[in-house]
Amino acid sequence: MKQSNKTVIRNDIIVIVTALVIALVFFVFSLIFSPKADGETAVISLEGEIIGEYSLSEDISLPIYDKSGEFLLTFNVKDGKAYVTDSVCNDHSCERMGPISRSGESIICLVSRLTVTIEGKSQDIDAVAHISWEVKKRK
Amino acid sequence: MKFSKTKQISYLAMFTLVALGLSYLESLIPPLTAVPGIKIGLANLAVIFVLYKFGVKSSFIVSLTRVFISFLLFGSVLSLAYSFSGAIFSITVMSVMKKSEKFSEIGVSVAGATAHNIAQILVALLIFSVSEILLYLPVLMISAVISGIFIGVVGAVTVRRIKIK
Repeated sequence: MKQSNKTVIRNDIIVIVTALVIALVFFVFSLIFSPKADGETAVISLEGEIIGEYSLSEDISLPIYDKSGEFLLTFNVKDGKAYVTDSVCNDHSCERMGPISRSGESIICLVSRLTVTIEGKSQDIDAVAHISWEVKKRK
Repeated sequence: MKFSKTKQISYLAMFTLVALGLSYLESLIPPLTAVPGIKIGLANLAVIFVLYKFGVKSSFIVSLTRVFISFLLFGSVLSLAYSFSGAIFSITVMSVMKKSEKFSEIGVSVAGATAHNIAQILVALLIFSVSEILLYLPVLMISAVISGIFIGVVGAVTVRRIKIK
């Protein structure tokens, strides 16, 4: 049964308003949980595994390789902010997500399944172990 | 509308190519924002057109074939997971809404676009298990509403103007 034009327009508006309300609810939710404090470390994970943790107080520029040794991107820390460059993916969206510095912020590279997340407190992870992991991957 | 089988197959093949062409055209447009996933969704125009002219089954065929072909041409396995989940969820929602006959192309298109983005966020959530991804949802939903209205308006015009014989 075909509805009248008026009802159809009203229903369309209901759909649009519902979508906007859901967006608003999530927006409020994200404001409540939004990152406020400056973070201390940048945690890099690849395919769900943490592969490195770097302090934001030291400037570095580090090439990241995947598990088969393929170059993915360069991870940088400069002036307390983390960002990525030279990504080998096609859309480079991860490069536009940075720089990040606040606790909870993240850079997500969907193609290489790599994330960089800023954390407030340094977790005691052996930095040397991770550096040696990187060195091993470079070979 | 009823077509002979041959005619139906030719039409669906043609509209699959139209959808593929539209998504290629869209890939040429530089992204407006840093947030991945914000796009116009031009290919959805062809899907909506087929949904209204040929029905639910045909639009499923066109959309999924397009996703599969663009995966073969440009994609990775991961992008296939995103596209398939988005496509399936979006057409399911659009089909149900179209069948109800309570909405115009605009309502159907907006719901399809938001469903597409929600499905992709959920898949990203499954893959990354980082709950921060949910924070992208409001931005993506608003972009889906805007592009959904645009595609819906254009879709409504094409559905009315183009006659399939």
